Amino acid sequence: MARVPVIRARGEESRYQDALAEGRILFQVCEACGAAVWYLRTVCPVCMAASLREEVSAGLGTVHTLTTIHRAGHPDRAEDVPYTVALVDLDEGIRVIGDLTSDAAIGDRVRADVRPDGLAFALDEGSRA
Amino acid sequence: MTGLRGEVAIVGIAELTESTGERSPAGMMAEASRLAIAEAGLRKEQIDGLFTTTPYYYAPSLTFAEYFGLAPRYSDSSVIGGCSFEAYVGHAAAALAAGLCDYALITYGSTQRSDGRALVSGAEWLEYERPYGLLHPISPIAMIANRHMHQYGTTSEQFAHAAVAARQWSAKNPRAPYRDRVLTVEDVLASTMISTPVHKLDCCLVTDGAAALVLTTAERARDLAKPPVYVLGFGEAADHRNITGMPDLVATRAADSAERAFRMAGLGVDQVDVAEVYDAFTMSLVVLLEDLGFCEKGEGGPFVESGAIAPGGSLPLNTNGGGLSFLHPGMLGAFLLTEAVQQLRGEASERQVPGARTALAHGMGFTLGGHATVVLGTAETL
Repeated sequence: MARVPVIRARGEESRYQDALAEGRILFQVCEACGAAVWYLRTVCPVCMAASLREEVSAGLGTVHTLTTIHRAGHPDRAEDVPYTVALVDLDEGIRVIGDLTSDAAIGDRVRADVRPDGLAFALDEGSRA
Repeated sequence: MTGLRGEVAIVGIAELTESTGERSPAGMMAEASRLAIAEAGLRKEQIDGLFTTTPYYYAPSLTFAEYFGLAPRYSDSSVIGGCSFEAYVGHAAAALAAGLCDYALITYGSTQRSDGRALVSGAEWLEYERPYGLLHPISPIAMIANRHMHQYGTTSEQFAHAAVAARQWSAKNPRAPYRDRVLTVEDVLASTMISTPVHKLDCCLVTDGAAALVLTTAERARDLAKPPVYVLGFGEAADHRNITGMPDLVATRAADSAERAFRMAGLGVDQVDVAEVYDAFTMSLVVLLEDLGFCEKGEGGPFVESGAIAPGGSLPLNTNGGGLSFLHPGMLGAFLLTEAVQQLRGEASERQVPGARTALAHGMGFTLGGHATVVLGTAETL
């Protein structure tokens, strides 16, 4: 991933970014209803409980959908075109977004490379059928 | 039949559809509002409800009240995307029925085409999506389309048929910019790929435009200049702003908003004579046609491929050429309503659907996150 837009994270957003910089994908599990929650919330979006336990994802999941972008959505990615971005369903029950750096399709198993500026998914060779 | 069926009516409309660059966004809204109020046979002083939004102004109702010289006692600038104007019909109906205002003005204006590349969206990015450089709103729609293709076998050719049908309708509209230019499925597929599988010609036009509608109670409507077009039903539903928050990428809450609108109207989808459905992209239109009930879930591709939405097909849809081939000045919602009204008044000239008595206008907001449905009817449907 090339240069990315300047991040102005606040509150729980900066906690997420700080974890990313340390190589961890944070998500939450609601201690009241058990819902898996991404991105970080202050209140559970399912049951409104305020007790959300932060956990770290293993970064393994399945491609739900993707698109290859030929016209950069931000000037900072102009040199990257075409680049592919995917929604990935991680095994912990959360859906995240990330770059897709290998030639994967919907339904393929992928593994996240956690970079300070975001997630980059590639085919998970270990789980290939 | 429940709620406010037939309690309020649209009594004046106006559209500005030329990209002249000669008016500001507020200036376009003012001109459209002047025309709509005059068409209704009202005076500006009678307008006491104002419903407006535009990306150009942070406090749109205040900005426009000042510019146009209004002092509304009821105002609403809710933003749920391009469908805000369908939502305003419901909000205005509730306010009129409650006596909170007597004459409601809904208006929108944009100079998006004249602005060219100078247009900068004021919309914030979700912190968590920001690093990946999604092209908004095209890349999220592309993700929805790819999922639809994967799950239901929908093809790019089928999506392209929606653009072709829109161009065919626009040939009947003297104001449509490309009415003389025949579009084929091959043309759509050969156009520039922007974000797979969205080609340039899967996307709506970028135009200037302004629209205004005046609503009042059915009782007051009887004395006005134009035959009233009655609000038979309305419904809203909304659940996400960002693509990572979309609960199901191939099924939207348009199903809920439509169900609410049809229930209030006491009508079914098969009783819609003419439909105006938000077509920012061929793909989002296909998903909406399924969710509104015009075809089964997953059958949207074959449905549009069959010619059902082209002139002469089973569903008169987006009869002015829609966002894909007539106009799309940033937000389309108000223009779905003005076209539906023209159809129900019998004023749609060459594109008139003969004998149309009921019309559906469905708006979507952002990337299928907001929805509002309005069912309209002539006096015969009351």
